[in-house]
Amino acid sequence: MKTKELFLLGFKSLKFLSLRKKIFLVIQIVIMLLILIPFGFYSVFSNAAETIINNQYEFREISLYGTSNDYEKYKSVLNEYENNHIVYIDELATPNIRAYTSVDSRNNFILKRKIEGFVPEVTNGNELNNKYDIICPEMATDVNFEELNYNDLINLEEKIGKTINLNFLNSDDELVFSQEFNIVGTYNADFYYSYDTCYILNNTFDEILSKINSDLKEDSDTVKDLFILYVDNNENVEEITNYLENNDIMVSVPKLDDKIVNYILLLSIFIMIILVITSIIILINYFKNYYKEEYYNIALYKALGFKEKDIIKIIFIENILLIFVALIVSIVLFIFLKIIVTLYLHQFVAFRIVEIRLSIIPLFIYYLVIILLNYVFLKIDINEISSMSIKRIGEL
Amino acid sequence: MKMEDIVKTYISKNGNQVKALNNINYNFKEGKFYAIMGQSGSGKTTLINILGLVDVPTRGKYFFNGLEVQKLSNDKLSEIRNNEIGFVFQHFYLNNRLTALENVLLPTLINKKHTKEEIIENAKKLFNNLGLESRMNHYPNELSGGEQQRVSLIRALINEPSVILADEPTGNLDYNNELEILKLLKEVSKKKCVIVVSHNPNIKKYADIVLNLDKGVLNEN
Ligand SMILES: Nc1ncnc2c1ncn2[C@@H]1O[C@H](COP(=O)(O)OP(=O)(O)O)[C@@H](O)[C@H]1O
Ligand SMILES: [Mg+2]
Repeated sequence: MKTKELFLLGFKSLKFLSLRKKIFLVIQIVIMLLILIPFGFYSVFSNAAETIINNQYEFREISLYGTSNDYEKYKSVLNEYENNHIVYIDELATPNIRAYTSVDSRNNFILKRKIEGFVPEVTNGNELNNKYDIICPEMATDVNFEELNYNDLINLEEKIGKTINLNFLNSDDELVFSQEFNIVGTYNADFYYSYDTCYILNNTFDEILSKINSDLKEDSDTVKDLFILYVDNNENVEEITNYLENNDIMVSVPKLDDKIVNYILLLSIFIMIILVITSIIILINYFKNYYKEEYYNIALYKALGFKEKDIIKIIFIENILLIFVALIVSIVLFIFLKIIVTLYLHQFVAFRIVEIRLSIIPLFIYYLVIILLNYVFLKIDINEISSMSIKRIGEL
Repeated sequence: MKMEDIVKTYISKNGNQVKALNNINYNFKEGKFYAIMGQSGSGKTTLINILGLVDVPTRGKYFFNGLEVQKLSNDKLSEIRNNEIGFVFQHFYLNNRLTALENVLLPTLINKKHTKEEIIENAKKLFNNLGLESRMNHYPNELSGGEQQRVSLIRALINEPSVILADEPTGNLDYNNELEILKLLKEVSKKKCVIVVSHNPNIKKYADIVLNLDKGVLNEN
């Protein structure tokens, strides 16, 4: 049989799909979408990983940090700066964001701000009961958060139940007085990202505040992220950071943990394998019923003198085309979905969604697997085809 | 087509042996119109299936154009069916996904006798002869029973076979369509061997030779 005619017959059968074939088609579309979506998201991160390897700015995210005093200044610079590559500006901070009390390795204690109504879950020890009780991070630091290194942490967990002598400094870093505190507990600093924050009673806080006669205005001298800019393309990050730095704005481009990239890839492959297995089960079911459904036509082909290998070709092409339809539909749906997500959600999660890319290769692998299975099933079921005969149509 | 001591036994579901054909000896010749008459259950369909290489006998020898059928491979049998045999069935057996013309062209897809142009010209001629030229691009479910049967007759003729086998071709048709089909078959039988199975007495008027099948035994009338 000529290939062209085989395909024409295949197209003809696509026009008259039974309910079962339609359901099969929908299932295949869903499976293909489920393969496309995680790999689409993976591509976001793999792109980031690529840039890490190339030692570039890996994430199109720029943090603007400073103290609360810088807030208005940064804002006005950003308002003046017109750069189309900035996709979205996230305002993280208001001038009154929290501050903290902080301890360093020399037990210098700096009162930063009274934190009301918030004490992390204590992993060891008691609550704050007595005037000079204190709760510290399990691991404390006196180094800059950005350069955090586990070896530099001071283990305070060992010191539960013991005392610590704290030196209270004023805002000019001058020692005002010392006071002994009882460490009644520690909390998991990893979880709260607070390697330098300790908690004491409100009254004690107020008393010490008055003693050191410090003029604590909120947390005006605490450095924190004020804005995050999301940039459409890595190449434009440098231009923007240069501009900001020239305007005396402190910026940082966060690093992405490249392990995450691998996890997402593994997860995507894992999902794909599960979906392929599910699909094999569905395919087995599909082919088992296929012969029943197509008995009439196959028996007719045989009566008209078609050889088994001709019939196998016809069925093969028919199914390849059916699954090809699923392939095309799922790609179109994916693109459609991507556009919708990009248009309507990009204000919230812009930097990730903007990058969703169509990963054809996993889908293509899946398509090849199905085609292979289609072929294998036909070979296995050749006996079934041989036993089909026009004389038995009436019996069914 | 020569049958020698052909026996066909079926094992029915309750285990009994049913002798559908009992020692059939007969030689079907070209250019004749055979009518095989018999009551329901007498073995007519079984006989025509064996003649058409769709079924195999339990015992006996069957020669098609001098070839002993039992000794041929499945592919060779398919080839003979495609080249030499045209079927017309009681229930038409058209592919519902294909138009009348496409149904007719189906057997030509695997046949190398003619070029595509010749085949289509030939098909159109046949559609014209049978008064179906306006129905060529209709689907089977848009055609009446008589029209469907004429389409299946064209399909049977398209590869210019030497034998036409028809199992109750008029069983599902009204009187006028029945006469129409029988006349057409009569016309065809001038050049080919036509074997029509029926329990309808009207066929006797058209047949050259009438055979009676009674409980699996074939007798010339
Ligand atoms: N597949 C089968 N299994 C068992 N018995 C069958 C089968 N096909 C036909 N028969 C029996 O063989 C006999 C002849 O059947 P058939 O050739 O269909 O007769 P007709 O076409 O004359 O009605 C009947 O008794 C029928 O019940
Ligand atoms: Mg019958």
